Amino acid sequence: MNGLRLRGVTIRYGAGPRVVSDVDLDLPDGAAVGVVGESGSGKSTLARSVVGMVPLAAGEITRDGRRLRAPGLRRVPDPGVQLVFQDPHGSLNPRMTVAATLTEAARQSGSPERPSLERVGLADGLLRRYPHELSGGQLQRVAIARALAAKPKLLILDEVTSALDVSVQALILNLLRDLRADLGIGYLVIAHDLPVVRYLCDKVAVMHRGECVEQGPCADVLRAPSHPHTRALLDALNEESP
Amino acid sequence: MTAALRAFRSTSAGPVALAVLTLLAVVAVVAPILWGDMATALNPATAVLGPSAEHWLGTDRLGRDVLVRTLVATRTSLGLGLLAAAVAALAGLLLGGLVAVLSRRAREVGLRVLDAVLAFPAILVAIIVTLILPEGTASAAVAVGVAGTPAVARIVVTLATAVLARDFVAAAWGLGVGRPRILVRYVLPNIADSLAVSLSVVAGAALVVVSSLSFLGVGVQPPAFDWGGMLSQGVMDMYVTPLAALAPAVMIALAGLAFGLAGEAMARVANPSVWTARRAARHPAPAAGTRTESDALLDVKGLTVTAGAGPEAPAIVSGVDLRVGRGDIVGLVGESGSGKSMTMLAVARLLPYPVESLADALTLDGHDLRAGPGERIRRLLGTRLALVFQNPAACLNPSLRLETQLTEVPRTHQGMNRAQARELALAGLRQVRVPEPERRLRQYPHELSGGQRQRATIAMALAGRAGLLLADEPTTALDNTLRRAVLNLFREANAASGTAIVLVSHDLSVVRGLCDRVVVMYAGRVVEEGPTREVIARPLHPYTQALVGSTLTMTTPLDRPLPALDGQPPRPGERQEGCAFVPRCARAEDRCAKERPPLRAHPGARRTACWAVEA
Ligand SMILES: Nc1ncnc2c1ncn2[C@@H]1O[C@H](COP(=O)(O)OP(=O)(O)OP(=O)(O)O)[C@@H](O)[C@H]1O
Ligand code: SF4
Ligand SMILES: [Mg+2]
Repeated sequence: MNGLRLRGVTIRYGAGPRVVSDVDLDLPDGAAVGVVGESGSGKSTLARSVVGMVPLAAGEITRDGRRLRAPGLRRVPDPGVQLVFQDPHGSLNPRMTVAATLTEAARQSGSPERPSLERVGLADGLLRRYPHELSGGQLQRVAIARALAAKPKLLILDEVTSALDVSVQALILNLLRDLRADLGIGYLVIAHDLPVVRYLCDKVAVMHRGECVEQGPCADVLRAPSHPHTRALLDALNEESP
Repeated sequence: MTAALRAFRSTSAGPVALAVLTLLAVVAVVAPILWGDMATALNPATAVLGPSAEHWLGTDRLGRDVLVRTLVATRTSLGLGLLAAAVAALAGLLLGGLVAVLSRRAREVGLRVLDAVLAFPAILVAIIVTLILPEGTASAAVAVGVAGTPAVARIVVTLATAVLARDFVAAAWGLGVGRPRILVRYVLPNIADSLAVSLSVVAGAALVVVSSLSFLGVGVQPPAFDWGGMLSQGVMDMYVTPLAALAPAVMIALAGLAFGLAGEAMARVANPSVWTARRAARHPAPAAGTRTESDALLDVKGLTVTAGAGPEAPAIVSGVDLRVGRGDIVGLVGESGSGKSMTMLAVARLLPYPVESLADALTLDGHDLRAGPGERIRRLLGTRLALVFQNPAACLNPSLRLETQLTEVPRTHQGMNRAQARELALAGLRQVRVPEPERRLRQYPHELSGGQRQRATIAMALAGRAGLLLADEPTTALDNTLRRAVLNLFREANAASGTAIVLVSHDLSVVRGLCDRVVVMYAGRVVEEGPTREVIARPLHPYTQALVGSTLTMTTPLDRPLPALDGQPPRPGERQEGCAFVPRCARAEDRCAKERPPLRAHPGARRTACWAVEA
């Protein structure tokens, strides 16, 4: 299979307890998979392990059959997988302009041209601004543009819309749907918001206390959940939505 | 920059430091030119004289004027102090930078080594290094610089490690940016200001240490002289001419202090939250004895918040009224930049510098918050007001364990002892369903997941049992089971102790689940308000309609784009005469751009500000 494959992924911070245990997950190229679960269930940790920010305690992560992460394996960046963070204010260097940030990203991927802001629905006028001069939604779009500069096969989106206003959320979600249709890239969507996963993904995995308790096509899992925890997530949602 | 300078000068330490340092600089330049010869000319005839009209501070044992020598020595003393500081800064930066980019494990080792070296008194290290270096005036300074290097390196590592943990560094690494470049382009620019602060303190210390070396006879060698050397000679004649020792001693203390104060003032400028207390005092004081008759718990009238002072300053919030009765739960919605958070911060008297606020009325429990000395207001707010902020990182101090932070309010405001406060904190964490609360108390904020951090701040806020809770996006980082739990907690606090709540959110479903009344803000003004259910079911204002329309649910159709509100709200300062929503409004008419729609009443206790809605 071409794409990302997680097998038996287990993670702990230092000598602490397991935060992620024995997770298997397949992300074929171009697929969009959501990971949902309660707070602290290890979703972000899992996402960070893929890009090498936290080491694995056991298991392995491969991409296109090549070993990418495993215990003791040297930490090297893989431009083919880019992470977009939840907090747009923290994910851009406050001392670099938008132009400098994008130029830097392009330089790393060896392309002479700076990625365009138009691609993510922003005007070029923003290029000379610094992060604190942009709104959260604009920053998040710059972060997406930066990630796209590496021409990734897979974007990991860790709660990318949860810090944004509803109206801006809708813009970003539309953008992400368009990008996937145009570029054929895959998504690993980390979210606590089920409607977001439902809107973006074909498949969903449910995490509970570090374990993946259920996975399958969105339509099936969300309509007929088999694990009680998934049911609880859905119930809570139905109770509060209008 | 000018704003920073202004801020610097308005700290209490700033002007003093600035004045003393300027004076010292002038003396350092001028004195050797004017009195250089006089300071070194020997004259046995005038040896060890007391103060006189001719020699204000008397003379030393070789007949030289003490005052003149003290002034002339300023150049050498300051010069050497600065040279030492420069050496320490440069070497410390290199060493610290090196340790900071090491792998996690190697960094630990590097830090241990640094700490071990730091346990040595710097002056001892300096003496040893002086003995190794060739004799000369500069070597004393270099020695002190070398001795100060580990301290600077330690500061650099601490600052750099914090920056290295930020997401933007991870993003750069993920793109393939190399370590040296990360250090230069990402870390350095982000620690520069804090580093400058530390370095000014280091400069003051270096000056004192160089003087001490001279005093001990291993520093500046005669015939060259600095304050330390003068002091050591003066001490020998302490009983005859005490001023010969006192004058250089005072100068050392003065210069050391001035650098220290400058550092402190810079630190205050770098940390705007220190400013908030001062802002409160800037408010026009109301007439005496204003205990208002308002029966609302919180009563805000005509609140205006501006970015900076004066009539020209752009308005962030304009003329907002907000009334919260005892036990009320009010929702405040609107997109980011609409002024929700600034309204909350203005109520809490926590506006960041240089933001200012003005209000026709601003009372909490009958007390005028605009008035009075900062201390009294702060105590009032500390006991009656609790805050939960959107960004949990901002209200948790990254360098303190949770226990310290969660027990602070109960200990300082409720007079609890440590054990009681700890019990309360544990109960609070359990209440918000944070797993393993005992372990969490020992952890630092970064060791918690995003949602756990947010819940910890909620626990902190509820622990205070305040009459009014201002919660700014309290549930954005939470999944929906937890969101429900937290909202239930709010509901319980409201039912049990009548805590009134103002909930700021952009998420209508949260507001709908909790709030009786909702206030919708756009571009710094209230555009709609009314009972939550009706407003969401039948929004009147086009902006509210768009907000309701773009909310994603489990039944949102998947085959077409979401209805989104395109464009940006006008930024403060770009706001026009008429309705601020004109550029994004499908129903805008000619009149909208010219005249601002007033907030008009509608049936069912509703109000909205739109020309297109029939009054
Ligand atoms: N740097 C760290 N050191 C120690 N423990 C950590 C660290 N980061 C996270 N953890 C722990 O790992 C667990 C999983 O955290 P993670 O951030 O992956 O959760 P999450 O599913 O993303 O939750 P949320 O939805 O709240 O963001 C939590 O119990 C958290 O306390
Ligand atoms: S006043 Fe005019 S522009 Fe403003 S919201 Fe109403 S219709 Fe739209
Ligand atoms: Mg997370």
